Amino acid sequence: MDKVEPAGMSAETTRARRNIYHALSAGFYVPEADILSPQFIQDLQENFAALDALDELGDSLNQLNKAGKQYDSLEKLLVEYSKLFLGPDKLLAPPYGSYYLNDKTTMGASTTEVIKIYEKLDLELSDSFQDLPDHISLELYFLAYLVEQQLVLQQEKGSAAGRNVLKWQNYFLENYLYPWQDEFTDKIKSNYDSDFYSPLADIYSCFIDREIEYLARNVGADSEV
Amino acid sequence: MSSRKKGISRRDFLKIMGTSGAALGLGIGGTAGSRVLAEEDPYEVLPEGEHQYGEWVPTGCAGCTSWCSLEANVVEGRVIKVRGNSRSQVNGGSSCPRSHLSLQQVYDPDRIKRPMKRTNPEKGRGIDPKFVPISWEEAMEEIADKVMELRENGDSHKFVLWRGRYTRLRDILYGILPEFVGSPNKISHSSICAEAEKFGPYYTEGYWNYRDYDLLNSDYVLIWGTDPIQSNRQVSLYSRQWGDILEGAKIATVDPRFSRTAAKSDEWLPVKPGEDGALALALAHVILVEGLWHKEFVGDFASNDSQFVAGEEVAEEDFTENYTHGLIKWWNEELKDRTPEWAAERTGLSAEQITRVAREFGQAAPRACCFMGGGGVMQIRGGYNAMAIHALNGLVGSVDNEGGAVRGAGVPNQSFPDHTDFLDDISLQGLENEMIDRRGRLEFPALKDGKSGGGVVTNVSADSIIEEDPYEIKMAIGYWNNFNFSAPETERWDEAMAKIDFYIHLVTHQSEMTQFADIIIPSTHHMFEQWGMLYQKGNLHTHFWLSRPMIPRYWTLIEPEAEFSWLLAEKLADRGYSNMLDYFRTIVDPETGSEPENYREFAEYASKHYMQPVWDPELDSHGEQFQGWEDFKESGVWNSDRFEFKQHWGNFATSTGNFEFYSETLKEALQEHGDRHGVSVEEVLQACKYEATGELAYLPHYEEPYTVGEAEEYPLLLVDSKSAMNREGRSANAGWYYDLKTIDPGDSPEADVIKIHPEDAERLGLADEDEVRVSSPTGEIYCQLKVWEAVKPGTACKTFGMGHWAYGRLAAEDFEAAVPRGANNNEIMPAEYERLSGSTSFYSHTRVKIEKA
Repeated sequence: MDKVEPAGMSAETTRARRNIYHALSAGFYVPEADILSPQFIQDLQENFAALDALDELGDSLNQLNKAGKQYDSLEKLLVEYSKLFLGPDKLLAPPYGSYYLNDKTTMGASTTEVIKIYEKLDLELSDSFQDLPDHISLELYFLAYLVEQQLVLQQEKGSAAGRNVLKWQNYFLENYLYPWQDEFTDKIKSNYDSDFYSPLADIYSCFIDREIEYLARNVGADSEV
Repeated sequence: MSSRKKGISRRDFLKIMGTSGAALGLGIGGTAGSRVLAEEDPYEVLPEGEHQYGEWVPTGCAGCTSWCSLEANVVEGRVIKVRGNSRSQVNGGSSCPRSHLSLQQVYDPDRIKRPMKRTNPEKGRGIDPKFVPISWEEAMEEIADKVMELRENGDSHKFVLWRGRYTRLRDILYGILPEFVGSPNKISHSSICAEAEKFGPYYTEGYWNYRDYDLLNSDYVLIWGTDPIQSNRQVSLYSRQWGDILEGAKIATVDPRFSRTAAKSDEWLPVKPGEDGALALALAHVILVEGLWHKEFVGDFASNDSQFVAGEEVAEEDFTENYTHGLIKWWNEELKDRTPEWAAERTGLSAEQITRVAREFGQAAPRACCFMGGGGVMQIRGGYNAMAIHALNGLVGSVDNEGGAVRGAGVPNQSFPDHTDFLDDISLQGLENEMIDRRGRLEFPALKDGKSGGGVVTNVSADSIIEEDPYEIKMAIGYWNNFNFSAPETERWDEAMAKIDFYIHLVTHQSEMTQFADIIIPSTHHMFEQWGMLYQKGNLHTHFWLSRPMIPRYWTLIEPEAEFSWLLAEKLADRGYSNMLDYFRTIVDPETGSEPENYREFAEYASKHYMQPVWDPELDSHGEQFQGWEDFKESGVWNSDRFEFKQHWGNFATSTGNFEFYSETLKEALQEHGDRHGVSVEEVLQACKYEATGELAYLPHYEEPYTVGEAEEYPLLLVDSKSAMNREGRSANAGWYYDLKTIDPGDSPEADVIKIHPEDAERLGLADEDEVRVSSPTGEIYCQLKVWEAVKPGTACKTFGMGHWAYGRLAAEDFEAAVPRGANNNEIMPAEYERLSGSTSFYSHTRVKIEKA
């Protein structure tokens, strides 16, 4: 009997999810010039279109698009990024899971758990990543990797293998990102008036909500027809 | 690093373990991780809440000058707990409350995480620097370019290096680097730390240093202007031993405020601020009149009939001194009139209490110990107080004696190789310039070690920059310091720092001083992330500990002393000036002879080099011996042999070789300084705000306290004290700082308070918990009033520690608006000095007025 993926688990959907995770990961890391490029917004728009989410996210994407054109230099965005996520001032929106999960500290017990998950999957931080293991960018990057693995394993080992990766995505998301999503995005929006990061926070928040629903729907779903 | 694909560049944040960093992407499904992903259930294979046991790794703490040897518990790359290192003979297994705040420092989300650059050229308090992250390459190149520019323009001396706290690797950044730049300006923080309390011991017994105190063997302990179970010194040790000390000795504490130590004493002497000299002299008077001095040490009258009688002179030839010098001159010129009644009028203490304490202290001789801290001596006219207070130890023969005030053992360190041959002409010429702290000028003798201009006058360097006297400062590096917060009259620092064209700050946290930085270099935490070492004395031993990197540096941090210096040396070499790098390469691994190849190796080799006499079994350490570097690292601390008493009797490092009540040593130093400026000693003293004339200049004598502001307008004297939770002003962004604030007697967990006596509150029409404005002739602060009986009437006591307008989310009330949480005492404290030592004055000179806000 042929195995057919449930609706929503098509390669196109999976690729779109991967791309969004990756774009958001880049968006919450120290910005490089391409973050302000039209391509960044366009990518997000295309991938959200593939998820049929433009109705929900259209306004935020438009705001982000508008913001991208307003920033006349990367420096302005770097200043805002520093205020929100890097310092050296008081961090307005700490981007670390442990801050929310372990009493406002970094490198709490939850960070160790995240490191162990990376290690379990034979992964470690690249030299080019210069922040903590539970930084939101890295966690989103890791999820992009998991989604990519879903594609790879599905192709190489069949749909059961691909679907098992959904469990890992779900496990990671529900334990290490979703619990602090609201507080994090609230801080971004209420502690600083950024034309760029405010819509990005909305997009992130909406996407994670969708992901939680998506995974709840698809983890363990019977795919045999 | 990123690679290009459709859309934005792909970020490469993760890699397959053990690989060189190839991007994760499609087509790598065959890894071990992929198999796990395909086959294993995360809900089953990932253990939850599994308890892991950590490893105790030796380190040390520089949160105050106790410098305790500690151990840190490291669990899976995270440090989760600290404790005393039981191998230390100084603090043993004990650790003080503030040591634990280091955990909240190292994992503070507000830490500086990567090099940052200022984008707003305008500088000032409340002006947003608009920092942005930059690469190491960019940061170091900009710094190197600026150094080269100074050198090429003949401005190398217009560079200053400010050092705050340190490890002994300081000899590289602070000791050597400025000379390679070509500047004499190595300015330490020492004179906002202690120097006046070293002045007394030096000009009596020739010892410019902190003392150790054999309290367990004392019968009477006089704690003077210090709080050893709260703030300084050897807090961990005394927190453990205090009960035993109290069992064996009577303890009296001299302090205008009811300190934690006062609360754990038998007797409290709430002296009027600034009148410490009067009290010390009266105690000395009683000890002599009642014949309680220690005859073996001091000597005696030739005739049993002779004695000291108040108001009457004694013939010098009637008294034969043993290990002291000038007792009769001291008596005749000063002490004979310093009766308890005379002192009672000035100190606000009763003559009965003064007499009782003097008598009991003298009766305990020689096991009577006077433990001196900064409170009674870091005053405008405190130099002679320091001599008078320490001279009490001389009178009762407890100097260098069991149960008394002793010294530490020599420390087996190894200096770095001589670098002078590597200095070029630009450096040598630059070094000829006057230093910007004005040390050695007529009004700043700073007589450290008996030398005119031998010490530092830290706080005056702000004025020098503002006034461009002796010259303009164009570039500065500061590390582990925050003078815009920690030095009195902070506004001057704001003005000075705004004036410096290029400032680099090497720190763990954004502080007030960082707000003026052009480049911020993120520093490692000294306890957990770097090599470092410090030595300190206590419990009749000296210990020498090593800290080492024990947790990963996820952020791009560098150790500021050795690693930063190496990185700068590399960049200077790239620009054709390789002298510093050439020199650094001579500091090799003592075990293998290997030259350092990079900054991390340099820091490690430098540490091994500096401590080689400690760990090398071929060398005599004069204490604990180890089998090698690895063996020593396991212990993490070296201990000296136990201190031997009376080793200095008869050979004190003074001009006479004796303990000098009449200081020939000071006489020589003052005369040398006067000669340098073509003036008399009296004119030197006048320039230093002292009133003494004649022989009194060389004797511990009474000086009327010098205060700033009129008593009518500013009726209260400010009493500054240090919080038990202060890690020298660096812990205010730790939550536990506030959770545990009641550890400071009288303080509130809810607000930063200034404490006054109920009598004063009633007179001023103020009530408990009033929000108040506290003003002095130099500034004003806002805080809450605490009405408290345990304050001397006429004084206002406030703990130093809060009042940051930068430093992070908890330290500042509103970081963006530069609104402080609480109030910084230094904003209302006039910049004044005990000029003979160079010490900044923190005590007794600030008059304040308190009004409802």
